[in-house]
Amino acid sequence: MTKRTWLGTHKKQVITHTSIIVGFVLFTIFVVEPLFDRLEQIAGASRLYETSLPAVTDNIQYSVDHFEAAAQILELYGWAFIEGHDSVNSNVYVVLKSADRTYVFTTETVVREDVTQHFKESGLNLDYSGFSALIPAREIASGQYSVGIYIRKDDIEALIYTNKAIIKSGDTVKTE
Amino acid sequence: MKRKLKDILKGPVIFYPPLFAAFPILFLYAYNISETSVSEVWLPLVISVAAALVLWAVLSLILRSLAKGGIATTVFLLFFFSYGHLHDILGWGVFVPKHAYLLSSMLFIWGYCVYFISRAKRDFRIATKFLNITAVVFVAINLFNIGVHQVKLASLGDVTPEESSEQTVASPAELGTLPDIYFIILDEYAHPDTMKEWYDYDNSGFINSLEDKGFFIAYESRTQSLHSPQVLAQVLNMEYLDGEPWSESTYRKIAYNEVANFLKAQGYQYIAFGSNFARYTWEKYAKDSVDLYLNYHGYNSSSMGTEFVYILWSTTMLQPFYVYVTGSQYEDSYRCQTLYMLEKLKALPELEGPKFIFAHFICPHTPYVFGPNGEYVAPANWLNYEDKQFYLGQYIFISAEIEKVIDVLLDESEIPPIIILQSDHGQRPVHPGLVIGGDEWEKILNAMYLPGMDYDILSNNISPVNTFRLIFNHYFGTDYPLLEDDWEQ
Repeated sequence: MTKRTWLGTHKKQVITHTSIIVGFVLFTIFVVEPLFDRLEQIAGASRLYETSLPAVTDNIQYSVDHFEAAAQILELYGWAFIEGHDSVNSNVYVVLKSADRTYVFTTETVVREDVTQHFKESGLNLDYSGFSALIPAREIASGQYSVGIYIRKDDIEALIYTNKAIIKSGDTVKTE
Repeated sequence: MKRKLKDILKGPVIFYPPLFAAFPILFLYAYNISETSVSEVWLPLVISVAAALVLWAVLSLILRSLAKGGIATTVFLLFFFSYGHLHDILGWGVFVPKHAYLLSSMLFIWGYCVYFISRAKRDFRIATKFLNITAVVFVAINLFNIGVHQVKLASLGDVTPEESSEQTVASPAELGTLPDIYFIILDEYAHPDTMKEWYDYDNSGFINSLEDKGFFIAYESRTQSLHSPQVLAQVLNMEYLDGEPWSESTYRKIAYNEVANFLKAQGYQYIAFGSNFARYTWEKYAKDSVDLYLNYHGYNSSSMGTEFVYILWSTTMLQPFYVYVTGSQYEDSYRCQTLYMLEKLKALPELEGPKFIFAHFICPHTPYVFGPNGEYVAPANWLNYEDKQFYLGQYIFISAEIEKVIDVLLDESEIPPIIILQSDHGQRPVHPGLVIGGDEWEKILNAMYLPGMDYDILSNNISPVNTFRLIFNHYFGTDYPLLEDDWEQ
């Protein structure tokens, strides 16, 4: 008569419970996490914007006044406009470009009367040149990215890369 | 069928699940009773108890035992109401757990608990008795504390606002000649000297601009309390008060204040702006005393936006869904409230008749939700006291916006208005990570636009408590003596 081990006598239960736990882990990773990422929105967060970028034009005047990685969010704001054009009806986007990926994010417009004042000799209305962006790290893949500014005003497009860069690793983002 | 139901119902008397569902809400209410209106408690209480009863019924049917269903429900309630605390505790460690993992793990563990409860071969008689007694004790303690508070409140009496001041007006003015009076409070707005010394920021542009517009700046003015309710109650009642700053009697003094009573007797409309602060302090009395109450959330609106509901919500498994359900983050409501007040203030000169407007901005007080030009701030920095750029950003933003409001009030008012712009206190050294002088909170912004007043007679260190004594004496011919400026509690 052979003596059966605990595993032998409970083989069915062990398989059942192991399957349940593995199923739960897979369900959490592949279904629950993406679902929660969508639910946990924050005010002022930038959204991914699908577009094809033009070649670098370098005709953007800009200033990045604030550039900081805050936990899982890249926080940046400043002002930007296309040289020789006012900021009315212009949209500013933030571009993150790595060796193999490029992301374009929307920004919130910020009124900057001080920019108009600063460039008053140009006679341009630059009140709407301000931008504010909160970019969730989860939206981008790991890697090193250059930070660019892309502006669209009616049919005119302009693109410039700043001297700022970020590194995305795991869930967090760091500035360079 | 009847037999099945009989099997389910047999066993000891059970009543603890709805009590455990009520307990966390009653506890939170009892703990914050002086800052919470009972009207904020009913809805979550009813929902919680009703949901627990439904869950208990469903689980009892599934597990074929009222006792097993009760225990499974109680375990769920324990997980449900401790979720936020667990999330916070784990967040103090090396990582902030993702809701996706923590919430699903807790539900998974609860599922296993239900599985083991279903397989148990006992009737849970002793456990049921123990849980019944525990639930009664927990609820009774909190009901007792709530009852004690209500008795204290009742003993304050139903003192209704005094309709008129003891002072008599020398020459009652025609309504058409009375100026609007704007009383604007910026919460935790630091004195320019504090900004220079501790933030390396020169705010003279704003101050000089106010002076150029005709404001008197009391550079040496100081507040006597670092508690906003006490400061507001003192200024609005024109006297020093040394009672409990965060109490019902103080909130009543803000709502039924002497300044508004006096002005209403002169024919003024009393218009007040609410805020998240007002909601849990004096708002409940506002409807009795204010002619027009303007709150972004409003006391008639849904109670979803109150601090009580937010705190309760944050402790539960519903925490990750707050934005999804309410449409905005709680902190974002501060942003909306501030923008709402700035816009509404600009429209008030259009209202007919003399008005007394009381607007308390919870800004530049936390949460830091504005960059210097109104930019959005990441959630991780909403309470960032350590990095001074976030207070500074909000400070610069509100200064610029208030200046725009003042320009509109001066331009659009038919009769030059009286404008009082004060901080309740400066930045307080009580915040974690904030490095600032111990008495900087006493130094305040105290700027007054008083058309026709000879500013030479005004003292540079005038106490905010004397603000309305001065105004009433000059514009309404009253005879209020000015109080000592350096009163100490």
